[in-house]
Amino acid sequence: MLRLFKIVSRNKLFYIFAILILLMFPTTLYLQSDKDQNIIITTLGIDKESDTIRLSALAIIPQSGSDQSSNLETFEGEGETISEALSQISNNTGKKIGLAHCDCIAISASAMQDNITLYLDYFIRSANLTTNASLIGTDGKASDLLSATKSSNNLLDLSLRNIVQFKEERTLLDSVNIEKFYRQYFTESSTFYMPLLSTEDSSANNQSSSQNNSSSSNNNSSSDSQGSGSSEKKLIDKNKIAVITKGKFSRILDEDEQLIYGLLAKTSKNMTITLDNINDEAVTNSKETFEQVGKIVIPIYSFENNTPTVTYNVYLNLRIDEVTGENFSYSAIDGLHNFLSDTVKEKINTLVQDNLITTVSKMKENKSDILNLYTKFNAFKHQKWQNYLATLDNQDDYLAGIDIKINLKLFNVV
Amino acid sequence: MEKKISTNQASLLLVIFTIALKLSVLPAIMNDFASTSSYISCLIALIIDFACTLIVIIIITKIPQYSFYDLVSNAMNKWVAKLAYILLFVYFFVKMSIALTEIHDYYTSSLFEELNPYFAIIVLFFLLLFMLQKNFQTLGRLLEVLFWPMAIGIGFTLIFPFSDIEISNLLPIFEDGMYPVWNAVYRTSLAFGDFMLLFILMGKISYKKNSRKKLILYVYNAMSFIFNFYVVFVGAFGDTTINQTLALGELPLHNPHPATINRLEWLTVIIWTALMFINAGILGKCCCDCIKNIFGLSDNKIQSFVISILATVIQVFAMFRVNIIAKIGTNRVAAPISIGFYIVMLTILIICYFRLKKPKGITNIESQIEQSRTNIRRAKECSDYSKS
Repeated sequence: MLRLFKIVSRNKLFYIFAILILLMFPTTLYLQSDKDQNIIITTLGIDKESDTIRLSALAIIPQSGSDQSSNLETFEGEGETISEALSQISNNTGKKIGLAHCDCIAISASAMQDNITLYLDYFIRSANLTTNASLIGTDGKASDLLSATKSSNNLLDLSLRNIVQFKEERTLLDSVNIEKFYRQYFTESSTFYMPLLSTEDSSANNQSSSQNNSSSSNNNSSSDSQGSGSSEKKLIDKNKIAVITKGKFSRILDEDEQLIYGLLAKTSKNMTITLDNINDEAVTNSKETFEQVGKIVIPIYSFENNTPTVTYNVYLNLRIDEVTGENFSYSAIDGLHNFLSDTVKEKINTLVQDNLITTVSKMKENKSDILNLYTKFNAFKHQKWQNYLATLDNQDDYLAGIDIKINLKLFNVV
Repeated sequence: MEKKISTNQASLLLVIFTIALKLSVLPAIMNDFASTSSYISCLIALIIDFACTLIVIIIITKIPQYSFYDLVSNAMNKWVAKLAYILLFVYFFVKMSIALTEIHDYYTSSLFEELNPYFAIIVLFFLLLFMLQKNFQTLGRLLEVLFWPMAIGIGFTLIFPFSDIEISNLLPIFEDGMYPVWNAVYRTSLAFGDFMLLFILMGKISYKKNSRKKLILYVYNAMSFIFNFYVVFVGAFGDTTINQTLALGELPLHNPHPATINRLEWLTVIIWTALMFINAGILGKCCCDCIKNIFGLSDNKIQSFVISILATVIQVFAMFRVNIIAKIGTNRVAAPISIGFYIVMLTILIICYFRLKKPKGITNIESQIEQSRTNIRRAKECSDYSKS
């Protein structure tokens, strides 16, 4: 040991190290552990009541026990700003807010009526939030959504961010996070979309809510774990997607639009297409469900007769997922049978073209540039696009003159 | 007499010097001037930088036995040499201040919720003091060990964001005309000019047959990497690039893919801080070298102590505020000063090279290598004789 010390002490760095230790050691003795000073928040919920912001925070409070949800607790704070609301939570809990693990921010329908940059401004500036948090909407209260998330954690480690990421793979949603929101907000189209989740009360016979009651009863007095009464909430995904235009809630996409935008989105990997009344050599009056296996979308931006035209060439690989119907013949269960018959292809193309017409008309009517066409044309056909804009009386009406086409090529995969 | 560094070590020093200050605050600053054409500004600046580096490399490899001080003293006089070194000192000291400020800024934004600045200052002082007492060969050897893990780590952080790049964020080029692009090149000129390191390394590099090619290749690769980084960065963030004040840290943070190794920015935190510390050490060593040549000091301890003290004093006054440093470095006064400085130094180098009387018997690198072999052989003979 002495020999080792002699070797190490020959290096000057050792003395510098020793000096630093001697200087810093006394101060560290009096420092409190970070985990005792901070409250780790995983999800935030923003509600708006008159002029007051009500912030709900789902925090991790590690406790012994096998129940996942017992480690979670919700806290609430109010204020005129996010900063004020967070300060109130800090004051009530006696701990600093730690947002380093906050990966989701839920915004209620009431809050979305305002420009949501009012709420997100704190997060985009704060060094406290070191994650790029996902954004999720709810058509009810954000506090109920957090309560439902907490309740749902009995058996699985569920987070709202998992739900967002799952939906990003199946719909037009792509990187639904704060940074992407601001990127879209500052474009000409200023259109963003986020998933809308709902909550509903669990069944009255659910006696297993005891774990929620027992875990919350011993914890901080400021906790307010349930939004209304003592009923448990559960998450419901009604497959709604909210369109946010210029920071405010605009409308909800309907199924036709979701099909088209999902088809054109490069990031959606797992779409399904269901067709009714299919009659071919294998099936009669059947419902067939096809699953997307692979997709390539190549948009081409051009000007035809001075009209901006975008043609989406979609190459879609489909695999039969399920066949339900009458007169189930032997060939229907043949694994190598090509269910993507000409009839089916024609039906899919008709479905897509019909939905495209309604989608485009709604897009133009509501002036919601979900496909970000302004940015794309400005980037790829800059001069012609500027010339086109110059011909318009009101440049906000640029969507009205755009022609959108889809060339769909379908391929069967077994 | 200071030991010579190998070509490999010199190349790595030059690469780190080139990369270090360009991947944190600079992308946001350039975006502020040139918007989404900032990667074009970066390309133009890198091309100019590369051309100047090429000129300097060709000259210094033609006269490998000369340091910059010896060259200017012989071709002009020692007072011009001292004046040139004063200018070099100011340049390296300003850059070192920027590097130290960026380190602190990175720590406070990424790692620590609160960081006592005096704590950081004391630690930095000792670290600098230790590093500056070593020579370039030590730093070179350190880089030989650390370089490839650092390069792989930084390269790795570019892989994931590739899928997040939108070509439309990079277009249209020159949307607001050429002025913003050239303005960005002009205003951020202080961040470039990496060939200045070669003025300090002149006479300290041990050349071999392909040394010139190696140096040029390493510099070219470093600059290509920087350009690729800017393309990925602007392509991923678009208009919000201006908000990303720590570029290398923001890229993995906004990785859209869930990673099995969780958040990737820890990789960049470790690598980036190591890189910045080494860069601060290189800049500090350059300052020490300048002081040595200005005052004729041979003892390394005095200048290392002076530089460390000066650097920490500056940080105390600036209180590590990177926005102040960035504002000073990109204002309308600093830009022409830095460009003028590069032109003056290059001009001095070129004039001195052409005015230099070539010493007898040594006309090119191969002759010098032969001369070295002869010297080694004679030294060996002397040593054998003394043993016998």
